Amino acid sequence: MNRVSCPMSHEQLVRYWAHDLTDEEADAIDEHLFECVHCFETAGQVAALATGVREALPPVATERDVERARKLGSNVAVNTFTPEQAKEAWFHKDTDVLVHRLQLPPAVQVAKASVQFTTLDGTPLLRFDDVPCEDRAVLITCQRHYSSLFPSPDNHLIVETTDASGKQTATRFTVLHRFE
Amino acid sequence: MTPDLVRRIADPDLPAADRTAAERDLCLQLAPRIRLYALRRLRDEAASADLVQEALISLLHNARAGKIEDVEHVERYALGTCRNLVLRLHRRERHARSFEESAIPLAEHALPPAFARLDATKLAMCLGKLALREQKVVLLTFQEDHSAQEIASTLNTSPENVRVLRHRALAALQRCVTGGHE
Repeated sequence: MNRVSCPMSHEQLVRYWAHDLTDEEADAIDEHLFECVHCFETAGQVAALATGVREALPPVATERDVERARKLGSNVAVNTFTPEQAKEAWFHKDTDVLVHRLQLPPAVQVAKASVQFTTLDGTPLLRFDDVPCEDRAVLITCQRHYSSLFPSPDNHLIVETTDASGKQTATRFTVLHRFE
Repeated sequence: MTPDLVRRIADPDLPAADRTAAERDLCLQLAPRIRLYALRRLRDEAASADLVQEALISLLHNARAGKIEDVEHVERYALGTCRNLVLRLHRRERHARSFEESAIPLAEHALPPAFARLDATKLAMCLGKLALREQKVVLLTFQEDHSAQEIASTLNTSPENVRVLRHRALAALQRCVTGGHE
């Protein structure tokens, strides 16, 4: 019988929820969680994160993430944006996820990328560092309920890239969200 | 508290209303634990909800019949019931059971959850703020059920490092979701 140290460590609970323990270790934790109020509550916090992540789509995604959302039944619409060209992106009634494909010019080489959201007058709103960039494209996954995060539906999305030599480039895209 | 509930359920001298109240309290106490166990084992909300109901029905039947011998450790009994139900599920021997004679609210919405749901928008934003490598580890672990070994091969690192990244990422997510920033 494996003994469980109480209170359980966060790391142990993460391994438990990630199914990264032996059967004997997991069985011992099962037993402990049925009897220990404190550890059960902590386990619930880890479980809430793990189950939330299971259903989540990152705001800056990979093609794989978008494909998974499709497979899970989301209606995904993709709009491709080119730099410096303002374009409307329509959230139709049946759209669950609007993907803004920010296509960088061929001259831009990417070793690392970040993306910043601003208002049209340049006020910073959100920033994500170290984001995925595949085939020189950054995929922004926009969901209807995100609109509450932004003061205006019209935004600049600025992709900042660093190439292998350390040279930095900022490429600006303008997305005008429209809701049906 | 819980042993006392089991004793009251099995006590034929108590008024029916008191026994029903004890059954309800027992369900409310055990449902979150059973649900957490089921969610981890089955990785499916609907199947977990079904298992919670089946486990509680089985427990109440046995409590009424006085078949729970070690009432001081009814939680262990509940866990044993859950394990048997999961085994049956895996053997596809599950069958529908009714508990129509009960006044206990066993419907999904009437039972307490195992944990409070997180704000999906906030969680997504926090997920986006993780370093790319940590985000990959978290997504491969909890969305695609990859083992630490498999993720290590994908990311060209060691399983130990995957565990460190995963633990660090979950801790960062926890701080971000509860604290508002990371």
